Amino acid sequence: MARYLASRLLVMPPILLGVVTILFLIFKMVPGDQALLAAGATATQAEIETIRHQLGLDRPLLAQYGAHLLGLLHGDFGYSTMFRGNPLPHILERVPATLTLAASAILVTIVIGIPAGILAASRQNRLADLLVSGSVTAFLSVPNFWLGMLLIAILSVGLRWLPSFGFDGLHSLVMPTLALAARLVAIIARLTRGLVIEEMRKPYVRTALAKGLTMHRVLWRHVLPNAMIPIITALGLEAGYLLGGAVVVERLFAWPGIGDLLLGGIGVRDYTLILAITVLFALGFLLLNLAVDLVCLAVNPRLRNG
Amino acid sequence: MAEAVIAARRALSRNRFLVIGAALLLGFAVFGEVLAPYDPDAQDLLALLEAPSLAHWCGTDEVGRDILSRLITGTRITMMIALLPVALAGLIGVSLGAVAGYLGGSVDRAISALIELLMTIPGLVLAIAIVAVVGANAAGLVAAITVSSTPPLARLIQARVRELRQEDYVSAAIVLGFRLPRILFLHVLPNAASVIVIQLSLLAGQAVLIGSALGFLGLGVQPPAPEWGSMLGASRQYIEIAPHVVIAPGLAIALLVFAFNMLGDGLRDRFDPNLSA
Amino acid sequence: MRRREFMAGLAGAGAATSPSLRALAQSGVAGATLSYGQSTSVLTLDPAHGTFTAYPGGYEAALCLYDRLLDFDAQMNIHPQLAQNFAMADDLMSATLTLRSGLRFHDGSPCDAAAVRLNLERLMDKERNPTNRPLWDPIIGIESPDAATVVIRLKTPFSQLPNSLAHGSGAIVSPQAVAQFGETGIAQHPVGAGPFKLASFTPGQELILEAFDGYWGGKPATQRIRFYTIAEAATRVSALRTGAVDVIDAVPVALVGTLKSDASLSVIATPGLRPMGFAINLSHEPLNDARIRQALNLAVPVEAIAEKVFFGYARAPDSPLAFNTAGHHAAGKLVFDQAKSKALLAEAGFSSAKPLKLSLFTPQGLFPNDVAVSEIVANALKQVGIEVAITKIEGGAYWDALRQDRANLKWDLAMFGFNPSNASGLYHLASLFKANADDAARPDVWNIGRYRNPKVDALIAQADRTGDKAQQDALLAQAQEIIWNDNPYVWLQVNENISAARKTIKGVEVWPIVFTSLRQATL
Repeated sequence: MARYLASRLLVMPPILLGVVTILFLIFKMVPGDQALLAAGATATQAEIETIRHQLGLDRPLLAQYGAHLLGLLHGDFGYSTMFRGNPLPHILERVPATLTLAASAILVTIVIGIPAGILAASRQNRLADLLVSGSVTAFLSVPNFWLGMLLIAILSVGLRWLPSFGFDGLHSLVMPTLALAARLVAIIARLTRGLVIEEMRKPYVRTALAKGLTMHRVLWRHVLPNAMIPIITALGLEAGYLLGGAVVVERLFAWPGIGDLLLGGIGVRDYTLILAITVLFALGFLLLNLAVDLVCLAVNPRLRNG
Repeated sequence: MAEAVIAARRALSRNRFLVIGAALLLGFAVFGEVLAPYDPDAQDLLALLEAPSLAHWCGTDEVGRDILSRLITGTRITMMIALLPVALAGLIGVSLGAVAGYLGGSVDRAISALIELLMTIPGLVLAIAIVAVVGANAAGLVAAITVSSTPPLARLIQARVRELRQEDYVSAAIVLGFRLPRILFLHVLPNAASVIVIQLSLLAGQAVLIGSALGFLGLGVQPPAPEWGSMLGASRQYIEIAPHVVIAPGLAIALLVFAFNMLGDGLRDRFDPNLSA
Repeated sequence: MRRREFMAGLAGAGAATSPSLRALAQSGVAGATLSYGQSTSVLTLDPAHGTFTAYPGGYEAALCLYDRLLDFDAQMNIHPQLAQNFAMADDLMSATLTLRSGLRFHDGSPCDAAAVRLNLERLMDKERNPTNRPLWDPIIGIESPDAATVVIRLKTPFSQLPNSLAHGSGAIVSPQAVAQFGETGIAQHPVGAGPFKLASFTPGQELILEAFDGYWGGKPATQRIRFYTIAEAATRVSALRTGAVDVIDAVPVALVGTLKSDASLSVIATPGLRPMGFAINLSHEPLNDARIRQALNLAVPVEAIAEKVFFGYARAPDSPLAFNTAGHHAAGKLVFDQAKSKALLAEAGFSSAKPLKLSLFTPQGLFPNDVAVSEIVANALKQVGIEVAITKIEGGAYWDALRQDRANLKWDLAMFGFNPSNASGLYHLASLFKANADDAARPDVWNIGRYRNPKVDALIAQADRTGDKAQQDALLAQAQEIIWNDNPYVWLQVNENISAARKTIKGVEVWPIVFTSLRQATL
């Protein structure tokens, strides 16, 4: 296990290097004068040239790239016009909020999605199944920002039960989590349902039932563990949605995470900030997938031979 | 290829509602201006934010325009923002994936590396970054959604083509001296067609969601274009005093995504039950 | 009344009736936190960075953190603050002020003439203070003959000096702090002489200030103030309604109704100083044709917009200046006449066969209902046969698109509103309508449309040199009439500034210059 973990961790820096390189090149293609944007609307020509030199924009591309990488090794992401310096400390301050949102979305997905799927599978084609399947279809089509707005309209404006903004205690986490997790719950519920149905068709289930075990025990003791790997893998596959969706949900609910900051950076054309946050999202994606793989290994030792 | 078309027809005919829905959508996209009850840009400053009524089935928006008319005429641009990138992604993704999967070796590895790198960046975040570069306009949106849709498709095709490469008829074709393009287009790709078509339908649904999300965030097309996501973003602040402005565009988006998802699911069930989750 | 006597009189009056801070200091609930949900964020707190980035958030925080030599009240009248007396020389070439005794900064260092001198020199220096130059350029030298006296020397007669000193950028910073944190460090570690001092600062997100015991006006009643950024209007309003914050600014007119129906909340609306409009790019043919510009103004139903889109919380203007700007004069009335507009366009050579095509730039979320108003104006112009293409630009990049070299101007109409944050009509007219030194280069201040009228320039220069208020107003009145009839803008509404607070909060002032001042607020 340790060797696997080490090998995965070793692969990350090159991947991140690749991501940084691609993004660096993409942002170099931006039309317009970056020094001008950094200096601001009221700067004189002399000031713009000073900033151009300070940011190293007057050097050849390769030199800029090299300097950028060198800075990254020290945790310096460059000059952000919003923070007038290295944006990293400010970004890191906001990471916990995004992590909290993501973690609670995953939690809700597991806690609601898996039981819903099992329920649907055990009552196949009856009312419960139809309800679950119907909801799944709905939540897979519904845009998360619209769902969020509806939740605000009903729970916050209408019933005044929940606050509709900011990170202000546990109850402010409810609506953002629901808006973000809805799609994931749908995916996991559908997956679980399918897996359970398939498992239940297998001979060993019939044998177990014939031996006198209750359906309940069969489901939880035998069927579910076999289904865990695909479920966790599916969660990993949806890591991209989780992180991307967080951006929209954060903006809607004024949730002080890095997604909201990314949009702020777009608003002021702060490319350094945008690049830094995008790289962090990539890192988050890699770590999430690593976590998924590790959990799968832990759950099913048989996979360790790989 | 013919299989794919037949399957699509069957998937659609099995579900009457889907056919009607698809027809409506296409109708709106093509004939929107004719079918809409009002001019989608016609403002009535005396009728701001009116609730749904007989005159305005979905109410009016913040500058007095009929929301239903805007939804109908907006079908075209909302769908174009999704379908054009998906078509482009299909073209680029299939080409890249097929070439990589077929040639193998270092080409395969290099393209795999590029795909993996791009897929490390969450789709919407990558789209936002592209829009930041190209600009918040139709070109930017198309570029952004294309870039975020291409890698997963390319990867899928790559895997499928790798599989197909091992088939006997391919080896036979090589022995017979057929050239690469001919092998790819006449023999390999048709067998991957089912995978491609299913994936494109699902990607279309994704593209609508990403496109409308960008519109909602204000990174979409220029006003007064009636793109559904932008309509939601613009009317968000009125949710308290006029909730109706928020319901209709969101519902429209959900229905469009639903349609694409159903198409994809139907095709998948028909073609390859093993592929379903 | 001559300006000098006016100011001296005010100074005397001010000393006796310094804004009821002391009175308020005895009332109110001690030890509680006043929470303010701001529409823009506080990113930096260094007054020498002029706009404090993201106007007006930073200024509002600065109002609590810093004191200035002179101060505005809610009606934009000037009062003494750190300066006890202020007198301008008759020739307007110098001014003498006397500081109060025993003034201290938050870090304990004395706020004396030497400290003030260091501050003013910092603001004079183009390198260290690159913005708001028209406010500080006329100053040529500072003397501090003794610990309580400061003499300001000007290079030209500058009647607006008091407005500069009362402006947000005139905040007095502790020189000891500048030495300790460095020129750029002050932005994150502000040390002033105002009623509140810094407790913690997360730029772009949250700023917490706490009461300063050593404040000359007495310790403020509120123990802590929390500035929190909530950019989305609807979330801001929700936050107030659920009690998460106590005060909010920039209430969108659409939501005023819901706030008013809530008995625990009060809505504070004051007429603003910022007239909105579309700057016309006079360097683009055929916009230099006066008939076309007149046609543009005739085609837009500004009164309907003010009434309907802003629910009555806006007015159609009658001058390039807002109604309560110092020196305002009713220059004319806006007329909505589509027929006449079409006739003028035809006269200038445009018709449905050969339509006039214009490119319109609008920001999003920068000005009240900017996108909606842009869509309405575009539609209105379409009704008279003009084709308008709208380009919407995100906040930060908007200023850049506006303030370009003449060759790079991509817009024909650009939405713009100027807030003379020193309340001076002269400053407003000079910033927008005084001819640029070089029209081909970027504009000196905000004359983005390249307007040029020598008569207006002469009137502005003359007004600058006049100490007599009545005379100055007369000159400004003439200038306003000329500008109004030249139509360099498509004139739009003047909005009211609307903030809201919980009814139990007292002392929240909404200044016409879009600031919500919490200096004297109590829970």
